[in-house]
Amino acid sequence: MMTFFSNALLFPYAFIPEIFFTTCILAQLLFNTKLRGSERFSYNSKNRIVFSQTFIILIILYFLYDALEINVFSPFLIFYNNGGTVLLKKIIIIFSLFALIPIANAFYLQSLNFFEFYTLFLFSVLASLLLVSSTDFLTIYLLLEMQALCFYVLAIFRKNNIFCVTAGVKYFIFGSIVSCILLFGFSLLYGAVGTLNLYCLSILFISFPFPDAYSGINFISVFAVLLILLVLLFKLGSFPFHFWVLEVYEGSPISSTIIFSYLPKLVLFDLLLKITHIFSGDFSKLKIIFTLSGLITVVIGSFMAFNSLRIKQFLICSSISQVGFPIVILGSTHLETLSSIYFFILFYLISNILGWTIYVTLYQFFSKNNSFNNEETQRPLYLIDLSTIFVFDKKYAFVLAVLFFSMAGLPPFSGFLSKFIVLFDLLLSQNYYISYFLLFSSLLSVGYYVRLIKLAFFEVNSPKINNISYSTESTSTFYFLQGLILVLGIFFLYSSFFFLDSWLLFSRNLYFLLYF
Amino acid sequence: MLFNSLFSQEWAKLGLLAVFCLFLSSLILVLSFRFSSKNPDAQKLSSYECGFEPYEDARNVFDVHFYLVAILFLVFDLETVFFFPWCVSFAYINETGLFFMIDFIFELLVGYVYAWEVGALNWE
Repeated sequence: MMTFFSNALLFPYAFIPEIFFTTCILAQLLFNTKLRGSERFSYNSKNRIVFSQTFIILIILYFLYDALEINVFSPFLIFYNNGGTVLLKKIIIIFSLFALIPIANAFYLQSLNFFEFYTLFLFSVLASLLLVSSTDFLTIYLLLEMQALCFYVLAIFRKNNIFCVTAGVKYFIFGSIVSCILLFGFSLLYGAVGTLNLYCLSILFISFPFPDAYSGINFISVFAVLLILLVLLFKLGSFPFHFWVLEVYEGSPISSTIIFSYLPKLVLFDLLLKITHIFSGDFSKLKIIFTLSGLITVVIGSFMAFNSLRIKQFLICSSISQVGFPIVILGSTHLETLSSIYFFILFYLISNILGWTIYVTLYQFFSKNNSFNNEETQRPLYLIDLSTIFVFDKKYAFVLAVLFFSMAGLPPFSGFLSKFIVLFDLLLSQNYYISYFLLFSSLLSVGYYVRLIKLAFFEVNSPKINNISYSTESTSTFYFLQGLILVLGIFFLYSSFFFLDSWLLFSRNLYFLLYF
Repeated sequence: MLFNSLFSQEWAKLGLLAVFCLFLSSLILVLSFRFSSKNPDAQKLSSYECGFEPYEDARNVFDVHFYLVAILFLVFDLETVFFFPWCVSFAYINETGLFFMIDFIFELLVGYVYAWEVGALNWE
């Protein structure tokens, strides 16, 4: 106990990156309000200026985290920082940097001209960085709200589009109801045990399990934890609450959809791991929720992906079904299999960002010739639009095939490895039926990914919906895409070293509770 | 017994304050009603000048600007809500609390400058 309080003097130094980041966001906001009115710059160059500001801020933030890795606890034990959290924060920043390129391209293609987009994006990144290191349910609630408020505005960002407004309002209503339930769960937990701090809760629940005389209190706290877990499953878009994901994500502009689909996932899984670890003692019966919800999510996501006509819908549905895998492991195994969860989520994030990049590139191809910026000619991209892509651009078709084979989980690519590790962990912990079920449902996913590749390569002469022609000049997005595909290939080679060795760092993130 | 308890001592002051408030407000009301000059016309008797009629068809065009200004008011009212408990508990929090409040005001100021520059406060 004493060591942590003596470390508290170091507290301001450990959180310099966050303070710097907040200051940068505010300065950027003020600078861009001035830039907005100036006549000297065109729309293109203003957009480019704001994009490069955001990029530079994130890069500097990464190096700050690199330099300042201090194990520290803040006063009142509401934040903490150690090697694991710093690694997670770095990963969040790296993925934000990767995702920023398709986001900025989509933003430019949709001819949205509000610089506040980048401010909101950076604020949601800040919220997720702080969520990683927060150890109190009150700060967790506040930061989840901060992230959600940014997301509501991002979802409604194109004000003159009716789908966009519908998506934003739906997201807002669902989100506010859910945060009410979350707060109710926290207050019940506080009423039952008298603290909301994760340290105190871990001491209480791990070291001193309730005697039978306190079964009433135990019941209330189990109910509270159930509510909290259900809310987190809602935010992840898992089975009983998967209905909102498609409507909200598809309605909002692409640049916002990319943010929704990559940013909250890593943070929410980190949060789920912390909570499941703390409540592992008395609450192990609750884990059946994860298993059921994950399994049904995988199957339902696959069927939704089979049903989808539009490419955006397809990508969203496939991401729903992929989120199911790590949720299944959460329910089935012990803390030792952390590495497989993190490995799967990282692979999911990479392939998700790549999928969106492919979508934005296709959008770019179309908009060159067909003036997509015009509101009348704007239409969604259908899966059938991929049908002639092999004839027009062989490189693009190759990249698409590599990505979708990898997402389907075929052996030479890293998608295979991530699914393999998940199933291997399930088999090691003797969950045979669950692993068979997952195997068969991943067959479904192979079906719909391979159908897409068949469309791109072999259905050259299929009738098209509109007569739309391509212009496949290689764009910067496309170079980025090729580079990342290479990374995906190399990732397979290095991953075996990865998950044996340095994944243990993640466990440090969680085992802080045991060392207390 | 009841009157000597700590409870009644604390609440007696509040009760006195409530009675005094009631007295003062009714006094002001009566005096202003008695001594003010009254010459009503159509403009004065019409509904309050919030821009549109209170009782009419709901499916009409209205100006969103009113709501925008109301929301801005709300934001700056929250500042006051935050200030009162901070003032009361200032003796118990050390200089960290002071810096937190300075930071809060600074960030609010940034928001204010942003609203000013974007033109949210201008009426066309």
